[in-house]
Amino acid sequence: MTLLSPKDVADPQSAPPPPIPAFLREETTADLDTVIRRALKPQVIAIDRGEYPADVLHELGAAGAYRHHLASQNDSGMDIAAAIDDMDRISAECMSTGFMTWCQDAVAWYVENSDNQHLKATVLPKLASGELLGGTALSNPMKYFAGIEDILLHAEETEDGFIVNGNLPWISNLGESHVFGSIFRVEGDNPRDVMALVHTDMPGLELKQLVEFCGMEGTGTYALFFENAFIPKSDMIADPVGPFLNRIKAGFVLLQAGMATGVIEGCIRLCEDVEPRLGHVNCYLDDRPDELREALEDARALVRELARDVHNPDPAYFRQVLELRLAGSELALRAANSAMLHTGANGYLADAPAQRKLREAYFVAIVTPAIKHLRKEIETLID
Amino acid sequence: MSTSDQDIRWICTVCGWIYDEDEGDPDSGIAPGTRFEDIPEDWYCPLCGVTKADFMPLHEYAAKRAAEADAPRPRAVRGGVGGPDSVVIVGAGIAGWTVAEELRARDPERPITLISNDEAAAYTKPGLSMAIGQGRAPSDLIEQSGPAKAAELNITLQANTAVISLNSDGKRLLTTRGPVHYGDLVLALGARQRFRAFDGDAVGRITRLNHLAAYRRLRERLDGESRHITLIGAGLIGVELAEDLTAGGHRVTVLDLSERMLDRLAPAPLGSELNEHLSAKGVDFRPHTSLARLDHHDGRLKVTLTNGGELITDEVISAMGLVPNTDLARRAGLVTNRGIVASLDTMQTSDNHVYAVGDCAEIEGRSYFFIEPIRRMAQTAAAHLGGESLPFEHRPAAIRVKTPSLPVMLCPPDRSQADLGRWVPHRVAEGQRNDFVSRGTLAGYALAGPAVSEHESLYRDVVCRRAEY
Repeated sequence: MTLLSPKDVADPQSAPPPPIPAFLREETTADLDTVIRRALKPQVIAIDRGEYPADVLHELGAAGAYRHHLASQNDSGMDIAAAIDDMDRISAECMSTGFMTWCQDAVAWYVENSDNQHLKATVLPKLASGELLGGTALSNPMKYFAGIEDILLHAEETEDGFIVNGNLPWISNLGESHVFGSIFRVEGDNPRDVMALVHTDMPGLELKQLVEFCGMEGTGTYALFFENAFIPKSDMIADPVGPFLNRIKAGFVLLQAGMATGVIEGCIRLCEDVEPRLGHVNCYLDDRPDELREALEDARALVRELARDVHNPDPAYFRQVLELRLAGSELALRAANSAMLHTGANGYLADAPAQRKLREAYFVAIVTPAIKHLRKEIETLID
Repeated sequence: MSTSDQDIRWICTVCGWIYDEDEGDPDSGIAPGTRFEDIPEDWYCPLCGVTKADFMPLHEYAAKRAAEADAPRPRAVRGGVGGPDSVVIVGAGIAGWTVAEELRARDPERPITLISNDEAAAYTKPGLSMAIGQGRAPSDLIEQSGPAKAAELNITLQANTAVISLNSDGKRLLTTRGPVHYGDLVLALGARQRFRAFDGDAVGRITRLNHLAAYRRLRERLDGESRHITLIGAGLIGVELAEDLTAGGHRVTVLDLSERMLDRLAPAPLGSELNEHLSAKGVDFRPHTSLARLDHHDGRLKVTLTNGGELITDEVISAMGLVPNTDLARRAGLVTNRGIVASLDTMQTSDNHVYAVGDCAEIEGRSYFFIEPIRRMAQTAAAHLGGESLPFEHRPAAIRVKTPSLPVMLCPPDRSQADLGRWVPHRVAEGQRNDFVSRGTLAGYALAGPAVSEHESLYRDVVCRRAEY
């Protein structure tokens, strides 16, 4: 008897990333679902293991995934729900890519809501189309404003800019010639927090991949080292940042709902897929796919409601956005747990979608704002 | 899922592995996009090793298995939270807890779940505006903890959980801890301080005091200090807090757009007298103005007034009036007006299995933000849930204003009479009495000082006249 190991069949580590189908290189733009099926779906495992899918991200942008929430870049005006729906469909297939879609949406959202006409004219159209890719370095500042962490970037003001020093861990969707939104504390006579758009190829900024994650490795995630990096005032997004953050924060958090609803959708599909074969025994499990789907549809309906009102300044509205985000995390964890139990041992295989989605769901629950951060923030908003 | 999506997926009937044409099987040399029929015949299932002959289209397989399937099993209720035969109560204020008590008294068996977005401690909210003067810490206001009260009533408590969506057709809620099903639902959502979008970089520092948690945070900042506090609004909550905070050694400025304190509830002489008494205690009342903007200023706050004036303060508390919480009901498609519209006979909303009680409810155009009618609403709802009938009665509101420097008792006219009458001063030996006279009959009153002793007889009189009306 011959024992075969997976390595005898094929070595997955050495397999080249699957090619992008030729028709996607043609002039005509494919719609989002076609890009997801033909370009994204075959690459999902490679992305989970560390392949940064720049081509797919450009294609998703060309299919319109990054422009719905930008009134200035979208023919039908601001449509937050459509942006979330696109992120949902992408995340159902690959939440790493759904997360990078959110990163891209977020940095474009900052520029859209800033008063910087220069950035709006030069950078924003490229972010909206996916020609320029970018991330959001707001995890640390958000925790700083919530009283959870100290701010990590400090700056000295000069006549025409800021000299920035400090390190940030784990900023995603970055690479050569990318951009990201960043907040730093200005010291000196007029201390305040300022936000700017930073280019990854600027002098004084280094990107390092220092750690290995258990999944979602292909998200272009780097530690950033600022050493006397000069950011010109022409790249300012907000100074001071306080009122600006109040304007953008609900949209920033609400957009993340697409990651949660997408990963829940993906988990439900895995449960549904095994229903014909295993339904007679899976019916002994909790959180059955039909139950999860009801909850998911309720969450999606609330996303659409809240998305209509994204500039509502009432703290009670923002609390509802945080509650939805929290429910999305909790439901994603349940759905992923359910996908594991419903698919059984097949879900435990090295490249099985169920265990990948389990890791993705934990990401939804951990990425800023994490479940614990949300519960803390929601409690302070109960008045 | 569309048919075209299903057609591209084939299942191994032996192990359940699914071949997806979009993904192919790159590890076995089958490129993404390869149709199943184009796969070479010597290919085998990467999981169990069987050949193509043991595969069939997923949708055909699903249809075949569905035809053979047993009846579905009933759903499990997680941790006793909700369930198709349960009553789920949303909100742990007086209204929510009273429904739980009254229903349990009538029906010892019915499963009851109470969901609250805070710790669900039982306390009386009016205590929040007199605690400092009584020397009580926020924790002293709690009559019973949520878990203790739930155990006593034999109900399930889901505390620190927000209900974010209601699907009345599916008789289910979505909460921050997952979905919850109900047989009957009681919305006791309360009310919140009216929100206005002010300008300035410190608007996030405006306190709205409607929960014990918010009150506790305020006391943590104030206790042991002497601060300046600005109150927006000189209504009931504004004047009560002004006196109580002053008693705690703080300096208080009260802003109101009208001429006098309690302007919407009481006649001019009473508002003026209350102002004199509070001024004597040090309260600084600013009529005809409100907040325009709020900014940070040297570690304190700078208030800019609508009349252009400025003042430096430490805390700003919004007391502009209460608005019923209706978002959940409105999004669910229930009939809402200013509040959630509920029936006088049963407190049912436009959905027979959903009740609304307390501050969030509106009955025949009227909302009640006072304890006494809230308890009666809860009794009406609990009675109907228990198979009895106990219709709610509109009664005149009797409001004791908790301002120790000048006792005040108010019975404002019903809204049907408010525009048809006027305040008439009535001579009394001490204090003041004002009658609201509508078409020659007593429709309300406002008493201050020793004259508050006339309240009981006048109240009986008003109840009697309104019944005739």
